[in-house]
Amino acid sequence: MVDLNELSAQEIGRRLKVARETAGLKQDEAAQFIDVSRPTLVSIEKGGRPPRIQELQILAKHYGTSVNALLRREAIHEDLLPRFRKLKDTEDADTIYAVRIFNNLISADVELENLLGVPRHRNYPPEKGINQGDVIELAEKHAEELRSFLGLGPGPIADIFSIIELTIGIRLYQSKLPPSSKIAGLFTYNEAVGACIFLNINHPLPKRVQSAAHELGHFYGTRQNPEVLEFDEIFTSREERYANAFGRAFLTPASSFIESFRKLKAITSPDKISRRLVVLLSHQFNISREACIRRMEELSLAPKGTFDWFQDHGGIPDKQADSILGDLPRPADPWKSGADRLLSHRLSWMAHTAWKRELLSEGELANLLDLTRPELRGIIDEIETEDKNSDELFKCNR
Amino acid sequence: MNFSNVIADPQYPLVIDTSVVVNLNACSFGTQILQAVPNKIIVAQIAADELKAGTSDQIFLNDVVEAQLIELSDLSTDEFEIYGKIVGKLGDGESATIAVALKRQIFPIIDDIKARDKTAELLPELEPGWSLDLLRHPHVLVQLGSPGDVDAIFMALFGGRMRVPNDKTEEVIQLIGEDRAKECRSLPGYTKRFGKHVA
Repeated sequence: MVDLNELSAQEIGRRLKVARETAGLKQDEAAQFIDVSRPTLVSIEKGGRPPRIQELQILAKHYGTSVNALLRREAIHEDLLPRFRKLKDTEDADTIYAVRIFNNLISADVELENLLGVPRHRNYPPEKGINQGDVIELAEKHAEELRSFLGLGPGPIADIFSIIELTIGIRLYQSKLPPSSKIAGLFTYNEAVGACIFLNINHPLPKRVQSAAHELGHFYGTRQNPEVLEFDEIFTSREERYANAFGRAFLTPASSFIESFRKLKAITSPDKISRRLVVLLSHQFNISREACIRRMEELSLAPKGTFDWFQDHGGIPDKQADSILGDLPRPADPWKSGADRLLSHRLSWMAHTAWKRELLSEGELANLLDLTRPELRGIIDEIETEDKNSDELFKCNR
Repeated sequence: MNFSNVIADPQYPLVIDTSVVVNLNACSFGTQILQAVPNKIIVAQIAADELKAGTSDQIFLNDVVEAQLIELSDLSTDEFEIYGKIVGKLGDGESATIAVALKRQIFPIIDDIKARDKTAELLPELEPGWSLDLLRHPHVLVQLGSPGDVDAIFMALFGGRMRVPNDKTEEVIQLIGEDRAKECRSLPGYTKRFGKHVA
């Protein structure tokens, strides 16, 4: 039998169940791997029969994890992937791949934070629910409420990512997915790890801003359900239509958007929407030109079909937008500049600290972060050989 | 007992950890080194499984196993028992390597500090070996000759970011030379000696 250390048989069983479901395997299949009956496997997963170490090793191998990950006291085992699997129509390769990346990032982040005693503050407003009423009206109302909760006022949002991560305390990850991936964003929530949002860093900043606001809508309205946002998704369900409308309303509150529109419109022809107006307005609100025109349509500032008209007449190319904006400063996108890193700076630093303090060995860290040994060593050495003043300690009050 | 005494005696088998396999591959002379060391060299199958499929490290290991320079070994029931007691605190490969060393009373080569501390706790009479000990084995020096013996160390440090003991740092720098040492960021006390690394 396994030396359980500080883990109960129930906890090991729970972890095994999560690992099996994450691997997409049935109990029958897992039972065959270790040559036991299905009821015995069920008993192991319920904590009734502690697993033998040999069984754990075989199961870990088939589940694509390690025995260390199953037995390490601080390891995070949450059923993120199984919850996504239960979503209708998410059994496709793009979703599974993205959720695995998301799952690994969350597990590593939470475990390293716990190990190092890094506090994570949550400033979550209560979940609102969207069961009753018109979802579009509800989304407008909720977006205004959330802005008020966060003390944002009605103006444009300069940096929605910081609001999500620092003001609300949602875990936000932006990573690369394969170029062909149709995934724009993911959202999940459970009590243990809190709310988490993933954004596909391949997408340009205005698109990711829109995706982030969409996922924020899920957080505010319906956070108990995991969510997959696809590129060019057509929003049919009540939840999706709500999140889509919430995203627009949160980024472009009706009052300030209409006011800005009118100020710009007053300069130009009263009965036409010019490309210049769209470019300046979308830049002001840090949103895509498509989102800007859609919002105009929604608020009856432009006739329905305006976006399609632009599309049919050459759209508004980036080059033209650049020419209109001239030397106006563009929004910074620090996430994008770090997109080629194997790990974010923060995760790298936590990994280095855990290694330096001998809280985790090289083997444990490589497995936790899903890196090869040379990759992991590179990350550790990067911090080890920084300017020696980087970690000089200054006395501070807090 | 000191590892250097042991490695000089070919009758003692050695069990090497995943990290050592990575260093042997990175040094570019891994096959020649394994050919030169007269001791039987074992890698626990669990440690071998840690190498990601299709990586050069895994391909290297497959090649040297096929050439019978390394023997892959499953854990016995007794070894699994030891493994089960330590694997909650160390990686799977590190735990399997230590379990084999402990049960078979053979000598582990392992570079990670936490894993070395655990080995010392369980095998207080033994200081485990480093990858560097294999690269500086007398037979290896003869086999590789000069400058291959030094190039191997440089490549393990530069390409594999091999870890070396603090008290061997000066010796290593002397061997590979200051200029090449500046490229080896895994050397202990790198910043203190060379300042901030400039890529």
